[in-house]
Amino acid sequence: MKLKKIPDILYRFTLADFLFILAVFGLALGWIGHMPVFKRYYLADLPGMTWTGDYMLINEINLASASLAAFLIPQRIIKYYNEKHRTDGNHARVRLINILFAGFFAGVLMKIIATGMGLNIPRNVIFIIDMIYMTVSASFILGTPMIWLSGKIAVKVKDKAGIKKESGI
Amino acid sequence: MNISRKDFLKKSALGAGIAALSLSSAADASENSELATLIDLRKCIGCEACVYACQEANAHKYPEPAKPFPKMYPERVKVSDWSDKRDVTDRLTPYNWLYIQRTQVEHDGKTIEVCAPRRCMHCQEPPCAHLCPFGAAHKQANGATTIDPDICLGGAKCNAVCPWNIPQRQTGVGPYLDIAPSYMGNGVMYKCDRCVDRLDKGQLPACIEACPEGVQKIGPRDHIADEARRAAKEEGAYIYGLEENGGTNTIYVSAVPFEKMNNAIASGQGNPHMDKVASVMKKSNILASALIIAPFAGAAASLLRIGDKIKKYIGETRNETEKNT
Ligand code: SF4
Ligand code: SF4
Ligand code: SF4
Repeated sequence: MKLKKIPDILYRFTLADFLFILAVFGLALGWIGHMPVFKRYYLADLPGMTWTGDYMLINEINLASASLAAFLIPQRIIKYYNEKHRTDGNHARVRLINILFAGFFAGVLMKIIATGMGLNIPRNVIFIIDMIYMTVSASFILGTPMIWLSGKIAVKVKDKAGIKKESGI
Repeated sequence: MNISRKDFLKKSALGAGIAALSLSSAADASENSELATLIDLRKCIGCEACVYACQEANAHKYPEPAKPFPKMYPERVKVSDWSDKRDVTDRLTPYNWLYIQRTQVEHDGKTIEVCAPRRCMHCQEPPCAHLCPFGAAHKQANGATTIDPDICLGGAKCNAVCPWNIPQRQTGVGPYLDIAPSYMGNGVMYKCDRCVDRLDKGQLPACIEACPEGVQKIGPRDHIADEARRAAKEEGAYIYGLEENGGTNTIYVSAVPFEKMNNAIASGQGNPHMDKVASVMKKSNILASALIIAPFAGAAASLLRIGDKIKKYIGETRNETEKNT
């Protein structure tokens, strides 16, 4: 039996889906929170957010989230190829988000391997990896909401024009 | 840039004085060993020859800030300017990477004055390097941790995560000036680089070479650690730095317990403590190991689920075939 106030989409989510979303949030926080500007611009001063000012904790959240995401990714890949309900427009958007996520996750892994595992990697290589990590993280974290919004707008426009509704990302 | 342990030993064979470990023992050391220094506080007389030698040898690396400094936003971001206080020698600053920490300690019924040369500990697992967002702080193959002034933006994260708050900031220098000086970055962080350029040339670090009392030694870490342990066992000395923060490449030996020294130190920014330090990177290292296992575990779990589904499908098909026959 469905509870009235819970949106339909939540019923479709499995525990693995929620954990994956949690891991993605953890990775995003890991990227934003690892830079000193996060503290500079009062983000860590917001009520209830002071814990985000702890660099070690943010690093540990980043690593834990990366492990959780790495554990869930094989299952996500299988699920992605099993899903046939998406319409063409949304499929392109989902694919784009997946590509951005793949880049982001590769950046996270490179960053962790380069600086978090005590390997003797030349400093200029670490610098390049840091720059890649910055770029792919910003692309995913800023790009995903934009792609998602574009999907919602497309649905609204089509609704107005009387075109059959897409399922939404 | 990096001098290997082997190169160091070869080159220092020519120039090493009493400060270096005996080369025969060093040659026996394992190939993977990092270089560490042993600082014997029982010998230090606090003359500061090492402090001035450090300043002279590293003067060319000191910041020459452009003034006036860019206005900082938000206003709570303060500039750190030591450029007019270059002669400060009683704490760590961007212009003073080594200082003598003087303490008076009551021990065995006597008052003992201890002089401790303090600088970067060159941790084996340096959080400053592991957590630097731009890869400016970096651990060299020889065990020293350095900060590249051409990359560092002066956000001071290294200072925040360092258990001893060693790196010190100077505003008005570095690449932040070319990016968004008012809104991002605040200069460059400075600290002892264990005379990376001198080691490259096969010379000893300046502070080690200048000391008239032979307080410091540099050599493969396993030998330095053995020597510290021997002093503890045979001479009743106390050790600091061997286990701190999971192990450092700066190991102190003292006649008085470090706990007592720590209680006598007015520690704070630029005045590092001598307290026990648990490994800062320990949890992160465990999580990093989990990350190595996670994708394999995830793939195995997925395969098991697929296997279950296939089994179920075969079972259902067989049941249906049996029903139909
Ligand atoms: S030069 Fe030697 S004796 Fe003098 S303060 Fe430095 S370590 Fe101590
Ligand atoms: S003592 Fe501090 S600055 Fe030095 S290597 Fe360790 S963490 Fe880095
Ligand atoms: S090792 Fe070099 S940089 Fe470090 S304190 Fe000694 S002289 Fe200074």
